[in-house]
Amino acid sequence: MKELTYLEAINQAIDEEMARDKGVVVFGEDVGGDKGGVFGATKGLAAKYGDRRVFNTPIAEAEIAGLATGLGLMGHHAIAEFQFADYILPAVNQILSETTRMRYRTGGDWTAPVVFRTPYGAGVRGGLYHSQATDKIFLGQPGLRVVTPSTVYDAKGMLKSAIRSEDPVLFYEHKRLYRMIKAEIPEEEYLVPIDKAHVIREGEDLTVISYGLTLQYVLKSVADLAETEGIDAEVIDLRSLYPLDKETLIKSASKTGKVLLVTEDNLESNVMSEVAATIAESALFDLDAPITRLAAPNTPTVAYAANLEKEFLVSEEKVRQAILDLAQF
Amino acid sequence: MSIEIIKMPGLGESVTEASLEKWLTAPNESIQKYDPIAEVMSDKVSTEIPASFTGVVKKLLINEGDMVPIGTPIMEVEVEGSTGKVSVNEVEETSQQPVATPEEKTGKKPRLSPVVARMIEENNLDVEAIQGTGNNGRITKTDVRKFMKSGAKEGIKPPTISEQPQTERPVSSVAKVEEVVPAKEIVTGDDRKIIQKPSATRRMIADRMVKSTTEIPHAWLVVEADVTELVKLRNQLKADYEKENGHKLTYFPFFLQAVARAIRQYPVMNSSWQQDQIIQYKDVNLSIAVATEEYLYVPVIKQIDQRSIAGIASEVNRLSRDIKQGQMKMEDMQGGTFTVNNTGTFGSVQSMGVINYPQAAILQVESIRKELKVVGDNEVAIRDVVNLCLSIDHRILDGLVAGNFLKAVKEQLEAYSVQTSIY
Repeated sequence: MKELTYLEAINQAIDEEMARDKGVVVFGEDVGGDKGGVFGATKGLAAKYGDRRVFNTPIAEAEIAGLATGLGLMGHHAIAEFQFADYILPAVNQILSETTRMRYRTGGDWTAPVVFRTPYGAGVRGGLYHSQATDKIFLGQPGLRVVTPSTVYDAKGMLKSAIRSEDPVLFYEHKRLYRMIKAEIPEEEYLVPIDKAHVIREGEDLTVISYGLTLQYVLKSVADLAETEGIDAEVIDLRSLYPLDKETLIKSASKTGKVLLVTEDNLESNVMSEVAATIAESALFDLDAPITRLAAPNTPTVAYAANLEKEFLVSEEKVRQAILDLAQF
Repeated sequence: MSIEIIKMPGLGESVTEASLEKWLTAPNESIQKYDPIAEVMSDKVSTEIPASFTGVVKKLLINEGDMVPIGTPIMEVEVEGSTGKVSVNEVEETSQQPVATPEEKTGKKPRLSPVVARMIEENNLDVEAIQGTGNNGRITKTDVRKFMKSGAKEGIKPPTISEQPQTERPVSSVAKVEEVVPAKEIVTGDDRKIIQKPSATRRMIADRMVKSTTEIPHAWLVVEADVTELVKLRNQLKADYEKENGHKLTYFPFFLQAVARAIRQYPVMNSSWQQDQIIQYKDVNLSIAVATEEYLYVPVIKQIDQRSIAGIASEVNRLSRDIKQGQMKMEDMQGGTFTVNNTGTFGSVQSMGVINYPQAAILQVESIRKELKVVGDNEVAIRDVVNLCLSIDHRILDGLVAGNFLKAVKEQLEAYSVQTSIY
């Protein structure tokens, strides 16, 4: 067992998969050479596997997506990095019209197994272009998987699974978690499924579903409230944003009857809207309270000013209060 | 046609129950929306409540003199052309149950969450028997589970008095008969005694006194103040003041001002112990005791520290006039943070006041009397003195702060002189 950060777990996953499969290539803006990405996720890989397998691209996201898709069709497993999730927008046409639709368009004859990695999320004073969660654009697009790990263990295990998947996977990594969380993970190889939510903590009183940075707040608040208020909350890491692991979500909602959904995205039309609809459809007669959402306000995006960023973001205090309110409902 | 229910309306902050003193309408009478339908009394204020619907009075659900929680159904009204799908019978069935146990249920048909509704249906439970612990007494899933675990399955709906038609009510129990007798009416009596049901107001006073003396650990302090100069000041002003303002200038406004200023110095006096919290109020709202032949009322002078003596005097005059004419307003009866009681008007020289719950203290101002006092080192003089008797909530206030507070009141009173302006 060795203690790694979330970022090191990402690096290790890519490293191991490149060693295992010569068809795995890595490219993107600044990912190659000595730099190894603006966050260092691919650090050391160019030296180890050469510039032909780990290389830089122009600042042209549509091209990155198109290249990855083409390589996928040719039998490679490309890992393409978008430097920030905010930068993905120029590549949307390639990702949705080509990569995502490939299997459907060719009647199942062709697929583009690509991993698009991208750091997302706020809380690092990144302002408009470096803080957004753009995942909602890609949710509900059959043919594409959208996932995000929330723990060190999952960061490695899910990325390895994504690289081995024959489906295109949009792999969101929370940039605040990169160096914030550390954990010991097994030295031997393991995989984590990319289509399953994870019940992190079992409980009876209510269910809290979250992912990414806010999940950290949820875990802390739940532990605290268990001790101080005796609230026994079940915590689910959503992980797979699309498609949803409906079975796990419905089962938990049916068990506890109270559901709190926490995301750092804007309140309207984020992934939790779909989670809420799914639970409402399937678990209505097991519900003991309105399905509750905690999210950022409906402003265009995260503010740069520190006080406004703080106000915008879901915080541990807000999470704690929301859990308390729901428990007392 | 459908049946609508009129409930006991909210009568102000912290008012949880009210007594229905008098019906102003009767079954089969037509009423218009906003017509007064009943006189109710809460917290020593009586008011009329308006009809919420236009229609025909179907049934009065509460007897005159009954005390019921806010939100209790009090009347059924048959309303023309309502969209309600509920049939008359169904409404009667559901609306009647709470009437018999007004203390426990608000009478509102509880809104059940889907899971609670399902569990109650599947297990054939009596929803009335389940104690809700959620917000506003909502029955939670956990409550149903606990109820089922406790073995109280198939709860039987309790029989209620009002389920039986009025005319067929068996007079089997004296207690029941007593319950429907309106307040103040003599119930029984013989040559040697008169037995009365306490009126709603007397009952409310009784409840408050019991609550205050059982909940609040009282402690008492007395100090004597020399008000010779105050007496001179007031005597100098009183004739002109009455001519100008149409009411007398008493000593009471001076005492109120002195207390308000002392509270400003020791704001902890302006506190309240409520559910394990000590709330300290920023506004100094003095409750003053006003006695009528029957009762003692405690109207409130809000933010009294911002008023002059003349301003306080006119407010005292307005409040006591309103009370004597039976026209006190709800807002004048609420929000007090400290009480000053003018026991001196009865000639009392010392008393132990009961704190006006849930305040933290009450000050009794006793009668001003002339006494021989040693002045300076070697002289004796006739001085005007007054006792100030303070009762404190010993949970919040200790002897030291109470003593300092009393000293501050005393100093304020002794600082008045013929030069003091009352405006």
